[in-house]
Amino acid sequence: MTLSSAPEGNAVARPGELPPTVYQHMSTTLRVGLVVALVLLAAAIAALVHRSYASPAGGWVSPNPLVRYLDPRLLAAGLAGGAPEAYLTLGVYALIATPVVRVGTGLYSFLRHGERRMGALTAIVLALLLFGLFVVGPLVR
Amino acid sequence: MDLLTFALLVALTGIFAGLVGSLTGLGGAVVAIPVLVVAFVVPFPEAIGAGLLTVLATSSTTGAAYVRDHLSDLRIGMFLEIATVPGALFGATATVFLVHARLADALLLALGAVLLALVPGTIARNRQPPYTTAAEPDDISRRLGLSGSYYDEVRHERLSYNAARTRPALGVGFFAGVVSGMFGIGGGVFKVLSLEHYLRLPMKVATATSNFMIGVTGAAGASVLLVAGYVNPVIGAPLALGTAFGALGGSRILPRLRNRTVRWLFVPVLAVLGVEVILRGLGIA
Repeated sequence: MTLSSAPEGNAVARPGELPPTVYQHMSTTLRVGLVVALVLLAAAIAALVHRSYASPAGGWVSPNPLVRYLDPRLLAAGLAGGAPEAYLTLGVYALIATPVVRVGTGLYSFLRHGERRMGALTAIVLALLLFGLFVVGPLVR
Repeated sequence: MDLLTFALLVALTGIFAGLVGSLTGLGGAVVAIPVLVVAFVVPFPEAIGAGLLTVLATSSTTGAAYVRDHLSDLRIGMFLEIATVPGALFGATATVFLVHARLADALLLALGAVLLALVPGTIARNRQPPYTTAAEPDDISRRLGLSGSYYDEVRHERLSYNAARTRPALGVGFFAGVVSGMFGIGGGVFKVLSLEHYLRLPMKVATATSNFMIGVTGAAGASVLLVAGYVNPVIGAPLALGTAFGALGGSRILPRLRNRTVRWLFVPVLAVLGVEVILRGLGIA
């Protein structure tokens, strides 16, 4: 099982392994997506608290502000109008989109390095994710 | 309770959940969802939606570090996602139908059962000896090149591995996806089972690849629950923020702790939460 005892860590590609740049791109995608999502969520929550946001009957868990902004036109209008709920929704979108973009990065990397089979598998994963968002979700709503 | 107090308390819950989740490899939602339901009286469907947001935050936080360090196996992760993503879509869809059919309490009972079922699995993992030899790859593994190597900083040597029984691993992966989509938890324990027990990957690679994968599985479940209106960002945002910081803290202190000690501490927490959730589902708590 032991290949070598060279202390070069993991950042060197062995024959048949993906180049280190693929790992770097994917790691950067995850980190940037996470930071964008968390900044949006934190700023929106702070703005909601500042506005002394309090939901009516039922307490603090209802109503769900995201339902209104599922409509892209209302979301765009909310963002333009500086509505904290719209930015909160955008933060949730960013959080969900981050792994999806990561799959897209994987697809690009596999195809770029001539790994057609892995590219095809990754394309199926991406298609399934988009199918869930645009077909399954609206169907079961 | 005003929003500021609520957000702070939920964020603190997230920090604790993220810390415990990253130390045990089970993910923060396993702790966060029962606490939301039992302590904050959040409706279960919205707790599931919030749980998936914590899964996404945990996966991106720890996944970025593990991928950067080449501990996550990108090929094997992507291969198993073929099974976990449809599983998550199925699980989330089932949850929406069960909630519409006013069977949310039955879902609670099932989650309690899953939490209690994790207890023996966690104990068993403590006793399981690590695989020390590279397994014989099967035909799918050979065709897709599902093998790799990593530099083990404890043993100070590069270790190679091959993915072995890929078919049963896909089956367990699908089940992990169903659990993730249905209950909002990462399903990390089942993914690790699939990666470690069936594919016979080293524990570190299995844990890192599982952390890398749970984000994509969580995104699949969250996309369905999002459109169905069960992802409430007022609950999910402070929880995800807290979880991200908790997971980051956990990943920093993990090397200084013994895995077995951490898991033994986690077992009673898991058992109590499981019982609490079952009592809530029965309308007793």
